[in-house]
Amino acid sequence: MIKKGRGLASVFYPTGFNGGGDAETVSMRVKRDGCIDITNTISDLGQGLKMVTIQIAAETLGIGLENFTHDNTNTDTCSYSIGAAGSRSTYTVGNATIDAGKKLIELLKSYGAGMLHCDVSEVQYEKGKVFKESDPSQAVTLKDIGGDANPSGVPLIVAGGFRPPVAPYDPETGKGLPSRTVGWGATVADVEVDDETGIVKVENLYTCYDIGTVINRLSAQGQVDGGDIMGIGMALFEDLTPNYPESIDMQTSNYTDYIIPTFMDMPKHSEVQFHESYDPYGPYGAKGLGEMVNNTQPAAIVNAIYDAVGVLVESIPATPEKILRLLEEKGK
Amino acid sequence: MLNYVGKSIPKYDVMGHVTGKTVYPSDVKMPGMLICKTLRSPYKRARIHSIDISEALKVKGVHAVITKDDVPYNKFAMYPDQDVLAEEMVRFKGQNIAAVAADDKATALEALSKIKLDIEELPAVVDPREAMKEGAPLVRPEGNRYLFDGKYPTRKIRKGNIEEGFAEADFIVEGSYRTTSQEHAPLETCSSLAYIDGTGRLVIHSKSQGLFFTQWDLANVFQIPLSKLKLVGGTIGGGFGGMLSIHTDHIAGLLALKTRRPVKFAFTREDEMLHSSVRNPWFFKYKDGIRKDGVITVRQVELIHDCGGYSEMGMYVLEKSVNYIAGPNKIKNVWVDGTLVYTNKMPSGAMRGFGVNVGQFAEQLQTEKLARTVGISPFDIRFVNSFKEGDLAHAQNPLVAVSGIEVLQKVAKMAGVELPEKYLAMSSKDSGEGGVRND
Repeated sequence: MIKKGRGLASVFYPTGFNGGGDAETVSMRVKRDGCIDITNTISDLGQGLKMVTIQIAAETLGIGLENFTHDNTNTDTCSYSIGAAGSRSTYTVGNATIDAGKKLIELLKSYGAGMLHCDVSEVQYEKGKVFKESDPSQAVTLKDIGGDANPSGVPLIVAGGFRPPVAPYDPETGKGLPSRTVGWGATVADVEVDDETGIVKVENLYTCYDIGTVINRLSAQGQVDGGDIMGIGMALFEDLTPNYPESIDMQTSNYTDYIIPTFMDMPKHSEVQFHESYDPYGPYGAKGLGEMVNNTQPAAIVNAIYDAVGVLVESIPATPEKILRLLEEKGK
Repeated sequence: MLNYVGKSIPKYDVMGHVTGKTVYPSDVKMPGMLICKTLRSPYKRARIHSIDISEALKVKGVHAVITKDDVPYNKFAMYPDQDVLAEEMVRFKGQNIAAVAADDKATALEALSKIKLDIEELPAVVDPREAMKEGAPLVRPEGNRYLFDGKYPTRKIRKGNIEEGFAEADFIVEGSYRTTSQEHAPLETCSSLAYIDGTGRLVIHSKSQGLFFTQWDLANVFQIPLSKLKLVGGTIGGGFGGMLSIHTDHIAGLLALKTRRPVKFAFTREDEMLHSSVRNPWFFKYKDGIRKDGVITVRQVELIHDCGGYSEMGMYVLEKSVNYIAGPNKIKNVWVDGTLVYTNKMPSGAMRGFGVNVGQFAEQLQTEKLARTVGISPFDIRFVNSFKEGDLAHAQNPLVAVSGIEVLQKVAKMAGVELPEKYLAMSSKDSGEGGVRND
């Protein structure tokens, strides 16, 4: 018989490396037509970090996205990065981008003031323009500045950086600062469990994540969709060594034996809302997102199975075999 | 008012990804490229008496066969305790012992079959609970438990007084939970193409998730300055943490340095599943005290991480797990002991969630048990115990931008759960450390 159940899980999740110190640097260079090359070697592994960097740079400099490129291709010419890990990319690279952007604005003001034959204290920068505060009609654009500086042999290059504070811990009590920034999340899962076959279907996933300010809504939604798939896989299917801990001699080595969810396993209905609590340390208030989005589903699904058929599967994945065995024990 | 932040904007290079125009590290080929395959340990724990590569070198089309003796510095990884190519003692099945660079895959495999390996299988241990016992096979000569800061057998959290917490409780609830080995399953498998460029520098097209992280580690293995080593990559076909561990870059680089030819070392899907790092198993044991009104008075957690044969990222994931294992709940008395145990299996790598999601899986099942014991709803227990702004987390750091209550309120609304008025009126900003609690 098909039994319905509902489960809840709630989590908090740190942004960045445990204990801090995970630095990033970003460089910016203005080209002859005023376009800006950004470099930072963080890997883009599907999360869409390059677009996030460009959005943050565009916001800081007040000019359109089309003015930027982001090069992350190599260790010779791109700025230093530790790497994409620990839900840190948007947060750390974002802060380094803002730092670089602010430095670039200072450089543009200084060069622009020269072009306007006045002192740097007399000019302002806004939306790609340096202008005299006393007479805003006297202005030079990024294009003017790039076009003047590059052929004149003046480099318009800046580098910014960011490092979360390094925090040692006390080995006796664990007291320390694992991360200044944490995200929050909760998921309600609805499942249907067939108590004759042990097969579980996830019907609905309702989720709310607080990732601070959402930088790119489309990318964030995509991360959550991917997290749902991984979370369902972790909850119900994935196991490299099904006989562990007794043995690891049988290890799955292909996608016939190692089951990852397909789109057929996705819930009929999955929905996410972001709660945007501004993080004082994050770029424009953003927190990390990449990992938390597969934290909530496994427990919510297993708790929902408990609600549906009255057995708590204490070791994941909650396979049909495990569920049937627990139901049999319960029936005795 | 923000103009670019907060918008829905397609990824910078998404059209390339979906039209097949993006060049990923594993797509890169070069003329005269050699193919690398490695000889791996057939046993989980073994002693290598000798490796004879003389017959393998005679195979036509073989350009190099290397063993540990060919590696300038034979240790690598974040905590550099792993052998690039196995020394005398093998610690896990699949550990690299020798590597071949040949004209093609068939020749490379033939050469591997000609390597005479005198290896003695030894008793192995795969269950960390067994590995901790007296007399267990030694995965490492110094012992099977990692000592934090050189002397502490566990990574600890100690907050409040657990005896007081249990005395105050109306119910004591225990639970044991376990998670298993999981594969990252990226679309693109691990891959390296290494070659010497026109200036004599070593260039590696790598699938690394952290090019500088990997460059630093590799320069040490090759014993060359960073100016002689360039890593190329950056945009890769999925990682999920798996590409923070080095699996092919070191060996491809060594073979390129030896042969002066481009060398490709790319994992098959089977390699990826058997021989790339995984999420290793965890064991969790909870003992909680809770009052009738739902307030958790104490939480005691023992966790064991099965680290595999080498440290890799084991210490890091364990520390992270310990800090968050008590969950998003304000609990006065917290006691956590995290143990890292070496066993004869693939070293523990990073995987999306880094020790935290496995712990929070266990924690959320335990929370369900607590709610049922007291007879309150899953929402009740979470609202009652939720952290608020300025509260101290389990590592005693102040929490900022807290929204545990708000995410619960929103998710309840989405799922059509009608919350009692007292929960709807709550806010994470109500009162923090030193303030007045709603309990």
